[in-house]
Amino acid sequence: MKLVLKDIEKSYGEKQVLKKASFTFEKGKIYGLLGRNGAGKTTLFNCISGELKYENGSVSIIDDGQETKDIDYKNVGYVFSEPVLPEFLTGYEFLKFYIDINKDKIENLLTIDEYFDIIKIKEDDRYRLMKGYSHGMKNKMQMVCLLITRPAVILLDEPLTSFDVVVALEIKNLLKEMKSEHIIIFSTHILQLATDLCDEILVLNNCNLEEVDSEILKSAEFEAKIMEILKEKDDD
Amino acid sequence: MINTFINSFKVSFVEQANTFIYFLKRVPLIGKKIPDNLYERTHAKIIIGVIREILGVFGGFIGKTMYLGIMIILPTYLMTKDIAKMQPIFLHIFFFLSFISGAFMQTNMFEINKPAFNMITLMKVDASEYYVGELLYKNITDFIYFLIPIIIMGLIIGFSPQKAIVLITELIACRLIGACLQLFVYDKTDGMLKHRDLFLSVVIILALVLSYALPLLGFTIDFNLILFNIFVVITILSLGVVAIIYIWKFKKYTLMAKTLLLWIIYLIKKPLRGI
Repeated sequence: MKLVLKDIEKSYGEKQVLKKASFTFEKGKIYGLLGRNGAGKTTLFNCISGELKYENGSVSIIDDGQETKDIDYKNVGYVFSEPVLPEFLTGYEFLKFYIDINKDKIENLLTIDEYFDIIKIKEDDRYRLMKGYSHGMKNKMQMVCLLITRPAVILLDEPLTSFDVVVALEIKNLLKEMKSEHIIIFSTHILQLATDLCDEILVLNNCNLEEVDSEILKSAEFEAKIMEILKEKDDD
Repeated sequence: MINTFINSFKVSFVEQANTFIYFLKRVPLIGKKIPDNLYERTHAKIIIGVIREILGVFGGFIGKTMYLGIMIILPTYLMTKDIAKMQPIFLHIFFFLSFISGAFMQTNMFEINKPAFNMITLMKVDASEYYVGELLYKNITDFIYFLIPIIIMGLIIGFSPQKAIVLITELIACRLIGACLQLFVYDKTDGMLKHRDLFLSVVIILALVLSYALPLLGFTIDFNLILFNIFVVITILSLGVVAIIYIWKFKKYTLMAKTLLLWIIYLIKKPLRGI
């Protein structure tokens, strides 16, 4: 399975954010999307998930050689950087409803408590209103939805920045376990995260998507190279 | 669609029960006696949810009665000072306020609302099923909430319960026609009339002027002859049926939901991070 972005163009009024952004993402890999604040990472995710309309270009999925232009957005899971959840549901109720609603497309369903165990939310917290959850807990609730329905394309908009070290490591491991069946695109501006987790790195800068040679991903010059790319573009 | 509606109702039921408990816990003296684990107790929550629903039904009736009383009956009485002469002005004001203005104002499907975000964006219910279900639910409940006050008011000012039922049925049909028109405009232009401030302002001001200024100036349209004319009734109801079919078959609900509901994220992010 492939997710193909072709010549995506998006502007907000006079300001162009994406200019012929193209890339092909493949199943089984975690892609890191790097870019400075305001580079358009969230915009790109919103275009892929259908949250935003773009002026030109296309987003399609190629599965078994068949190209689908009209993506079924139920196959795109999106973890927002600022988690927004139904505040007046308890975590347990939210998962129960989520499972009830999506039961037709869930394979290998676990119990609600097993899902909570995976994301390490304590028993007492499961029956608390999500209104009182910390930012990290809310993010975990978003993540667990992906674990339940396992959409083909997973977009993670800076999800690990709010987690403590232990949970961040757990989630990283979880993503690594999940990646074989999914296309995972992960936006961050933390280089360390990108090198730890991602198989390929893309840089979004000056409205364009640019792939970073995977050879340098694990090398010592990685940081310097990324800085060079970002500065080069900035100087243009 | 029934399943989507039931799920949406269940979520709303539990959220309302939880909200009730949450605020009850903040009431001085009583609040401290409410145990923290009440959110966990299903039976207690069902009772609270049912109480909340019953209060909601009463609220619905009271809301419609107050709307009719304050916005229509009171001005009508002030203009005529005679109950026997109220009917034409009542129908005149009711038509312009509820049929015309309401047709555009009462369409909940174009609202940027959190429940829709929760159900469509987070819980991944089908946008089409959600919006159509909510639209039908709102119109059915509004039909019921309007029924008793309008029948009672009709008996006081001189039209029969049968006419009251016809009037409310036409009102609901007009709202569906209004929703249909808004979807049609969205389909053709990608624009949402409900979010065009100028358009809305013109509709509201025009409806208010036509509602109150015309009778004050001595021009009252005799809607008794129009709204209860069999041909008009059949025409409005037929258009209502066409509107329901259009609403049912409309294809762009997912796109519409995506466009509208992204604003929830932006509105909640303070300050806005990322673009």
